[in-house]
Amino acid sequence: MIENLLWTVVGTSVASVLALIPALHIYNVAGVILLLSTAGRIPLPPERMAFLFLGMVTGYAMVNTIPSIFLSAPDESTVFVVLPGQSYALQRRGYEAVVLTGLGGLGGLAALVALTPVASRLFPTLRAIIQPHLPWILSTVIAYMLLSEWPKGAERAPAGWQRWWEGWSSLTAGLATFLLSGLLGFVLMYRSPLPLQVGYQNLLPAFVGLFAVPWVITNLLGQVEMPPQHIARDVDAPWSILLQGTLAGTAGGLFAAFFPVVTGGIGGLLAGQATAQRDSRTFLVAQGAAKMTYYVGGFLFFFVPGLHITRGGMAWMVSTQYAAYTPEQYIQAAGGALVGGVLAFLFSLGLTRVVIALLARISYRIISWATLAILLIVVGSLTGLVGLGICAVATGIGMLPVLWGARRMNAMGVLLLPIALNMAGAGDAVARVLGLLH
Amino acid sequence: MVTQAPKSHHSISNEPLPPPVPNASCCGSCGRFVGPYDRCPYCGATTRGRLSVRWVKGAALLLATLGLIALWLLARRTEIPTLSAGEATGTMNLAYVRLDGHVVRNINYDPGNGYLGFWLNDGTGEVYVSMYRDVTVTLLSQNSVPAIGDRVSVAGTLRIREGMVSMTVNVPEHLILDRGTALQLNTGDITLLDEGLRVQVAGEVQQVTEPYSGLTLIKVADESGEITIAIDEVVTALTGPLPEIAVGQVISVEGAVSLYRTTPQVLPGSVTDIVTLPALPEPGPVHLNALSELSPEDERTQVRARARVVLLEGLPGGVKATLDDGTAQVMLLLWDRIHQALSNPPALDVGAEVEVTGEVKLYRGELEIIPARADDVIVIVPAEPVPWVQIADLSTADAGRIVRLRGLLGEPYGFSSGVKAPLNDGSGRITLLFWSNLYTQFSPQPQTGQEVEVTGMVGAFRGNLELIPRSRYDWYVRPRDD
Repeated sequence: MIENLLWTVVGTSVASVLALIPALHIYNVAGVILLLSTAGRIPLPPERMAFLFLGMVTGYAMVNTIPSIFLSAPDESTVFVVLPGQSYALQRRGYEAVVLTGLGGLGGLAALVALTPVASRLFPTLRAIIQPHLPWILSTVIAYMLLSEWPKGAERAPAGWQRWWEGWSSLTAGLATFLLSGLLGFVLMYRSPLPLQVGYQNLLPAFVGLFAVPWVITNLLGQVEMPPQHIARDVDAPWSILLQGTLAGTAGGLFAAFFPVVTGGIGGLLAGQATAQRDSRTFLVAQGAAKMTYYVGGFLFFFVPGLHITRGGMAWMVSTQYAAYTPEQYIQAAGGALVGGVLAFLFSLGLTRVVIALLARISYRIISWATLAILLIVVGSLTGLVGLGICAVATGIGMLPVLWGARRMNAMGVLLLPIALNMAGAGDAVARVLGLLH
Repeated sequence: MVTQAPKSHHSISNEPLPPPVPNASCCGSCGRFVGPYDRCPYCGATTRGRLSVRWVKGAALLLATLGLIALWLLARRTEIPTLSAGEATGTMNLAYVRLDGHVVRNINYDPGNGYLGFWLNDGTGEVYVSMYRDVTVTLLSQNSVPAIGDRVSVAGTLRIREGMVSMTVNVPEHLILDRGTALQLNTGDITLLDEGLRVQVAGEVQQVTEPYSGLTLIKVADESGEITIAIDEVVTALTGPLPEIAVGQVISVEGAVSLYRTTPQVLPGSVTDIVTLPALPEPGPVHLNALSELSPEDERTQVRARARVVLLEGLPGGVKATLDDGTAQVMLLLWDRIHQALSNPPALDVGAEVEVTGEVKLYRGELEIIPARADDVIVIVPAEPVPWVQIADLSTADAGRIVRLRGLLGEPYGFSSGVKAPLNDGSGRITLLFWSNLYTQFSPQPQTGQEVEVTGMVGAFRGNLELIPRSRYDWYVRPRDD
């Protein structure tokens, strides 16, 4: 038990530092560890690996707020933190935004731990009820995501087609993003040109291209200069905001963690709109809770006795080597996540100061270029030239919502469209029309 | 730490904030943050210095459309990679791959949810293949649900969990079934060595029993002996109810040979494989063929040929000999169970003259003769012993040659598909390469310091010489006091 806890702490510590590297997803780091372990290069027993990964995902879920706020290179699940978070940073309040998001994360963790005594009975029952209804639930989520976009525009264009296009260009871009990313998903799932040996990273180039690279390019285009930051001694948030944000975020994060394909960003959107979030503080707290419950909760489902569902990239990787069966393992995992989460929160306070100090010395543009280089190196080294090509195409698609003001979440069509159609029994027909079944 | 804003003296919200930092990302007219937009969404002013955004928009559109079309065209031309069970590793999890092998063990089927699963063995390991209702329904309608003994080529999503390899089939077209022609055998001729073989037997029903609900056993006898036909409830659930069968009836049954403990029995894949007959059929004669007479049209027919072995290679699960009768060359495929059941397996090597009976198959454009039993392979003239050579005499020009070496074995080490070990005979060093399926058959297993005699095919990998044993008979460890 102590050894498992130690591995969790090691994972948390390592991930807390690595999470500062903009756009480097911890799943990629875990992928490299799995690769080395499978090849026998690092002797890591499966159970130790599971707890190391638990610590890593916990540390990452907490600390990746820092680059998403200060460096604006988020992964898909932080898509909604960026606007209020960046807005806080531009008002010199980035540190406060990190703390608010971190408090939400701690709230989410507390909710996960509180669920431990009932999880082994609650979630298998819930799963049995929901399983037959997944296709229509997923279709509803997609429909809601697309229909909840609204025409935008400054109403400055001349009346007529130009005015219409000004309003509807963002909607069109959103739909085009969803459709194109969905087609990309079909190609990658049915006939991926990537080498067989990196099958577990099949979607890595697409995700980096759809979500991470467009943000870096936006930063370079926007030429953002980060103002000096203020280290606040307290945060401007009453308990009611913390509670409301935590509840909304936990609901959204758990929804995303439990349902296949639905990610933290989508869960956050649904929960935010369901609870009528308007306050940016509630928003930040909710996103912290949603991120934590989505990443860590999804991974903890892997340990719940009698449930055995695999949600999230980390659980998929661990499942190749290890499976948890006993309540003791689940309790150890929940305890490890709690310890790791608190540790990561404390780390995040210190690391935010470090990042602020670095930002005062290093140009934001240099960081953006370095981020782009890191992204391309990660994609290139893991998936080769073909992966870089896929990343380039995905970047083109991922830039559409950024440039035309639609939700970046539409790019989740890469997973949602093929899987929803598969669940509805129509995936084969589409793949056949695309000529991917020969 | 947490306070309400109005009460806090230190709250950042009470501090005067500096005006937004003017830079290129802010609107020149109203000063608000506009990011990459070329028109301010707040005041509508056109932002300066945003010309590059138009280029980026154009590039994004081109990448998103033309790039996706190019990727789609590339994907259409990409073949699904073929994998063996032994090669699957954790990093291939979720890859879309093809596996070829034989169905072994019982089929699992749940009529309630349409779930269908079976075990596939490709000679290097076993993979559990499963599919859900949509695929199962299509396969049922096409009468192409696999049964034990069938050769299956199947593509799907690989899943590796705790080291166990499984595959989910998402597309019915990606399961290709090759049931092959059943060998007509007398019931008494079927032995333990025929496990997995598809046979056809005919005889009189002696007994029909149901030891427990869901299993029907029919004992069938002919002049040579008797055998049990086992029909599992999965077969009836998939293919329909059993026909009326009474004691004394003559029936013909087609199915795969399976073992119940040590007794062979026949497992039909469908109830339509059980046919009632008016009388027992007579077996047909088999004539001797010249190899040049064989063509792809002969696939699945039984032939008999006499020829000389000009090459013997190892492959996962058996050996492959190249037969030459002076008119043409055809492959002879011997699975391990057949090869090991020969009266003198080492006699079947380069130079041997053999007479073989077997089924013709076409595999990757090459004709193969596949004997069903050891008795179908008669070694008329045994092979001469493979010549001894010294390692120093070998060069990369000898690649493909079959040689015999003796020497001292160095430390074995694993690689992705097997084990390698250095061999030193005093004149030089060469790497011995054991494929994993073969390595496990060696007795005793390779260890450092063994004095060994090893036969195999010379290979060259990145300029280094390798010797690749082809079967367990290519490996001999000399006792210490030898």
